[in-house]
Amino acid sequence: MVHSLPTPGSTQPGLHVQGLSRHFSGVKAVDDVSFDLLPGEILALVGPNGAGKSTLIQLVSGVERPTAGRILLGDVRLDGRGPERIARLGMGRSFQTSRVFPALTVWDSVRLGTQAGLLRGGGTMHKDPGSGHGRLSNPLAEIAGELLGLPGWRRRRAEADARAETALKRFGDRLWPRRDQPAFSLSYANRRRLEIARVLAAEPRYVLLDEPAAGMNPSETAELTDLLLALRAEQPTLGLLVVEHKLSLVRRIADRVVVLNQGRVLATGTPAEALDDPEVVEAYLGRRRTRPAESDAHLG
Amino acid sequence: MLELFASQIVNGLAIGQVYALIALGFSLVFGVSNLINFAQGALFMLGAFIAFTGVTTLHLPLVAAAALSVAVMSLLGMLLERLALRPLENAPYIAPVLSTLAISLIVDQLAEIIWSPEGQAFPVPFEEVTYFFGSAYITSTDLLIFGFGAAAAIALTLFLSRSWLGRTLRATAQDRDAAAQLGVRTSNVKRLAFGLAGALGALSGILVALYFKSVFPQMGLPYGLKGFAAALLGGLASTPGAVLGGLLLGIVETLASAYIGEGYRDLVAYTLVLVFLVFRPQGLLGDRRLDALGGLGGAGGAMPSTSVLSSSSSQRKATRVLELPPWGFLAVGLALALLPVATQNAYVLQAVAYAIIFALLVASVTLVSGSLGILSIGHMAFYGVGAYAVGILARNHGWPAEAALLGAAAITAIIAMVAALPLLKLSGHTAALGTLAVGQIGYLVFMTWLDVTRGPMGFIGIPAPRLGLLGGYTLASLTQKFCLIAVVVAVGLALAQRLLNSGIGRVWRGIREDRLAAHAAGLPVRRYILLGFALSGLLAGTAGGLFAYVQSVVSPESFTVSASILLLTLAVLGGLGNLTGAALAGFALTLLPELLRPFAEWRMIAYGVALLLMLRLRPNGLLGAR
Amino acid sequence: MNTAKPALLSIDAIDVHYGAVQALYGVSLHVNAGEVVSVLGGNASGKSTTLKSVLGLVGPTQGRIVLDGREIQGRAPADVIDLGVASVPEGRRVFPDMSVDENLLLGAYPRRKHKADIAQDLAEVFTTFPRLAERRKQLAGTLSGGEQQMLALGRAWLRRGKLVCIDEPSMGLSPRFVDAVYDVLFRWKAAGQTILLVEQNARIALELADRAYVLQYGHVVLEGNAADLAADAAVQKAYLGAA
Repeated sequence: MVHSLPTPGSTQPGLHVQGLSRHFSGVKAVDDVSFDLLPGEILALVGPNGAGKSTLIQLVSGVERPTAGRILLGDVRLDGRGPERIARLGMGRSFQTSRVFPALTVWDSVRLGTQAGLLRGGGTMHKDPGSGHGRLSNPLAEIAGELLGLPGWRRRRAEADARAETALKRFGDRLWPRRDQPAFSLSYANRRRLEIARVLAAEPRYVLLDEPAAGMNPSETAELTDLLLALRAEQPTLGLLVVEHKLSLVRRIADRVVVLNQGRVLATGTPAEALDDPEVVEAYLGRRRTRPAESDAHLG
Repeated sequence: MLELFASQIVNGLAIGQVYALIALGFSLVFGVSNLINFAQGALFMLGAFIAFTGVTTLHLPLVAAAALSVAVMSLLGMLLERLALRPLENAPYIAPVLSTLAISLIVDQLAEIIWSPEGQAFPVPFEEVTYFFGSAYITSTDLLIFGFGAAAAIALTLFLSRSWLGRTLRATAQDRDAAAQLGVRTSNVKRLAFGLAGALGALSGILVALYFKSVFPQMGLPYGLKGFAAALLGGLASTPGAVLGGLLLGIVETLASAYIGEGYRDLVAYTLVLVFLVFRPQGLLGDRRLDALGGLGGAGGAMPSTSVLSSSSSQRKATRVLELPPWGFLAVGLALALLPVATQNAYVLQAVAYAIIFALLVASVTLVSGSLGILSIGHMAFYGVGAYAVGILARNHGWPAEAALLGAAAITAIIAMVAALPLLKLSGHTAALGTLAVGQIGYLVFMTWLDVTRGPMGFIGIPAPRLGLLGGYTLASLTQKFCLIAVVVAVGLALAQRLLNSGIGRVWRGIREDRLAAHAAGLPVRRYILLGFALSGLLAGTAGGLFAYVQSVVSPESFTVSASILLLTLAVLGGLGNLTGAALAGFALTLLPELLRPFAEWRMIAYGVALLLMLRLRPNGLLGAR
Repeated sequence: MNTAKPALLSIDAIDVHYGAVQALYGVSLHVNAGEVVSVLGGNASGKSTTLKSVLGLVGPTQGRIVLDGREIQGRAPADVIDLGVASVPEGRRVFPDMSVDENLLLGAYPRRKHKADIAQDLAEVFTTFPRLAERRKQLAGTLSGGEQQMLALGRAWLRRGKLVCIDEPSMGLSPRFVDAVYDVLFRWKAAGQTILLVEQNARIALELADRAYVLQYGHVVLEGNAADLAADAAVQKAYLGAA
C-alpha cells in the first residue's frame, strides 16, 4: 500500500487563518486566532471595541504583518506578502475609515479598482488566480496603449469601465448620478458605498468589509444588507468576511459568526448560537462583579 | 596620523555643535507642529546679522550684541508663527511648509538690501589662540563654539526636563490632544517652540559668524539645509537626536573634507542623508511619526488621505480647475513659434525662449510634486543632467539635435528613476527631504566631476543644434533655435497632458490621495512612482537640453537647490498637478523679472509676498490644483 | 428631581456634526455634584462625542453646555480644564516618552503653583497604585495597557477636579484590570467625587453609576436610575441588536 499523506497546509479552497497573532509592544491585539472562510460563505466577525477585529483585517489584507501564525488562500501563503499582491490574488477589502481617494471624482475613484485587473490583460481578479500570481503588462505597452489609444488597450479599458459602471450602479441612484463629483463631497454613508463599489469593481473572489454599515441609519443599513444578499445570490462562490457592530445586519446575512474578545476567539457558530451565548453577552455588556462595591473606600 | 585624525574630530565636533543647534530649532518646531520650518535658515542668518550690527554699528560688546540678537530673534520666531502659520491651520498640509519657504525668500532678500549682498568681516573681539598637541591642534574659537554650543544644548535639555514650560512642550509634542485635556494651552506652546527656534537660530548664527569671522546674507540656506539634515539623521522630533545628528554630520563631513578632498564635504554629507532615508528613515533616535503626515484620520472623522493637498479640517472645498486639452499646448506652441515673425529683437526672443523652457521644467516638477504627491525640492539636478548630456552628446560625440535631445531625455529619465528608488517607501516630509538630498548631490556632482562637467569653469562650446533628419540643417540663429524650442516644448507638454488625462494619470493621483488604499486596491504603486519620475525626468531633461542649446555654455550655478525650491513654489503657484498652471507660472515668472529689471532687488520680496498671499487666498494655486 | 441646587454639569439639547455627518441629535443630560453618571451605548452611538463636547474637543452646532453656572460650549479644552474638570481620555493617551512621574505631574498642571499639595497628592497616588510607584522612572510607553490605564487615572486624580470625565476606561483591558480600574472608581465615588463616565461595558458601569443614559444613533433612547436600567431588556437590545 502506498500511503498518500495529506499535503501540508491542504489545498482546500477558501481563506484559512491558522493560529494568527499580532502583538504590539506587549499588548496582544490578536492572539492565536483561527477560522476558515469558504467560497460562497458569509462570515461575520464581531466583538466589543478593542477586540482585535480590525487588526485581523489588517493582517489578512497584508497591511500589517503577523507576529505568528499562517494565512492561506487555497494553498497560497498570504502572510508575508504585501497588500498589493494579496489584492491581486483576488482579495478585496474596505477600510474602517472609508478610503476613497478624496480629491478624485467618484467615477475615477471606482475606476481605480479596475486598474489592477486591466494590467493583468483585461481579466478580472477571479479568473485563474494562481497562474504566475498575475503578471502585469509591460509598462511601455501601457504607455503606448494610453498615449496612442491602441485598439487592444481601448477594448480592455472599455471592459474595465463597464465593470466600474456595474459596481457603481449596484447602489441605485446613490452614486451613479454623482459620478463627476469629487469623492470628498459625498456623505459619510455614500463614501462607504463608494469604497465597497471600488472593491467590487475588481471582481474579487473574497471580500473583507470593515464596518460597512458604520454611519448609516437603520434604513440605509437595511439597504446595504439587501445589497450584500443580492451579491451573494449573483456570485455563489464569493466569500465575504464582514466586521460589523450592527448585529441586526449580522443576524440577517451571516452564515457563521466568529466572536472575538481581547484578541481571542470567544465563540463560533450560527448567528443565533454565537450571539446568544452567555459568554458573548457578557463580553458585550460586561460581567457582573463578584465583590460588593462599598467594601474598601479609603482614598480621599 | 592619529593626531591629525584627532584634530579633525575636534574640528568636526565644533561645526557639528552648530548644526546641532540649528537642528534643535527644527526638531522643537517639528515636535509641536509637525512642520518643517524652512525659515530656520533665515532665522540663523538674521541672528548673525543682528549681532553683527550690534557690534559694528551700535558698538556693543559681543556678549550684549549676542543677547540682543537672541532676544530679537525669539520675538521674530514667534511673529513668524503668528503671521505665516497660524492663519493656515486648516489649509492644505503643504501650505505652512511653503509659507516658511516664502518667508525665507523674503528675509534673505531683505538682508541683501539692508546689509548688501557681499560678505562682511565679523569683528572678533579676542585674540585667537591655537593650542598644539604634537601635530594636532585646536583653536580657541573651536573651543568657544564647542563650549557654547554644548552649554546651550544642555541648558535646553534642562529647560525641557525640569521646567513646567518645558514639560508642556514635550507633552504637546508627544500627544497634543492629551496635553490639551490636561489644561495645556497648546497654541501658546507652539509659539514658545518658535520663539526657542528663533533663539537657537540666533545663537548658531553668531557661532558660525565667529567661526568664519564673517557674515553673508546667503549663509541661511546652506546651514539651514545642514541643520535640517542633522535633525533628520537624529530623528526629527527627538532633541537628543538632533544633537547626535549634528555631531555625526559635523564629524563625517570634516573627515570627508580632510581625507577625500574639500569638494567632497557636502557630497558625503548628503549621501549620508540619503543612505539614512533608505535604511533608517526615522533617524537615529526617532519614532515613526513622520509617516503620519495626513495618513491617519483624526478622531474628528476627517477623511483619510495621504495627499499634501488635503488638510486637517474635514471640509474640503471643490476648486475649479482650468486646464488646456493636449492639443491646446500644440496650438499655443505653434502660436509662440510664430513670434519671430512679429519681432526679431534678440533680447525679447531670448527672454521668451527661456520662459518657454521653464514652462516645460515647471511642468516636470508639477508631475511629481502635484500628480504623484512627492514634493520635489531637487528638480534642478534633472534639468542639469539634461543640459550636460546634450553638451556631451552634441559636442564630444557630434550627435545631431534630434538624437542628442532624445538621448539627454532618456538619460535623465533613467537617472530620475534611479533617484526615485530610495524615495519609494517614503512619503510626506521624508520624501521631500530625499529629493532635496538628490538635488544637492546632483549639484555637487556637477561641481566636482571635473573630467566631465569641468566643474565651476563650466562646459563650453556646445554647437548649434543640427537637424540630422533635415540633412544636417543647422539652426544657427536665435530665431531658428526659438522655433525648435517652441515646437519641442509644445509636443512634450501635449504628450504629458495626454498621459495625465489617461488611466496612468488617474493612478498617479490615486497614489497621491491615498497610498495605502492604492496598495490595497492591488495597484502596483512602485511601478507607477518610477513611471512618474521617468516621465518627469524626460521632460526636465528635454528642458535642460534645450537650455544647453540656447546658452551653448552650461555651468553648475544654474542648478542650485535654491533654484529647485523656486521651481517647486512655481508649481504650487500654478496649482499642483495642473500642467497648464505649471507651464503658465513657469513662463510668466521667468518673463516678469525681465520686465521688472529696474527693481531687480525687490523682485524676490515681491515674489515671496505674492506666494504668501496666494497661500492665504487661493491655496490651490492660480489655475487650481488637480 | 432635585430642584434645590442646579446641576454641576448640564448638557442642553446639543447637536454635533463632523463635517456633513451628524453625530448627536439634541442630546441632553445632567450631572449633579457628588453623582456618578454613566453614558452607555454601542459603537458609534455618540457616547464618546458627548464627552468630547463637554471637554471642548468638539464644538456643538446647537445647544448649551453649562458647568457650574458657566456656559462652556465651544470653549477650548484648556479653558474647560481650568474650570475644574479632569479627563481620563479614551485609549489612555499617556505621554509615551515621559516617565511615570512626569506623566502624573502633568496631571497637576493647572494647579502647578501649589507645590506642597502636589507632592502630597503624588504620594497618595503612589500608595493607591503600588505598581506605578515601582515604575516611577520608567517611560510610560513601556507600561502594559492596564498599567497605562492606572497611570491615566492617577494623572486625572492629580487634577483634583470637581468633575472627572472618563472615556471607556475598560477598553481593551483584561477582566482582572477592568476590576482593578473599577475598584479605583468605586473608591473615588465613595470619596464623593463627581464622575461622568462613558462606557461600553454596561453592567459594570451600571453598578458604579447612580444614573445612566443610553445613546443610540446619536439620540438618548433611555435614561434613569442605574439599578432600573440594569434590569431593562432594552439595554440588552441596544448592544446586541436582538430583534
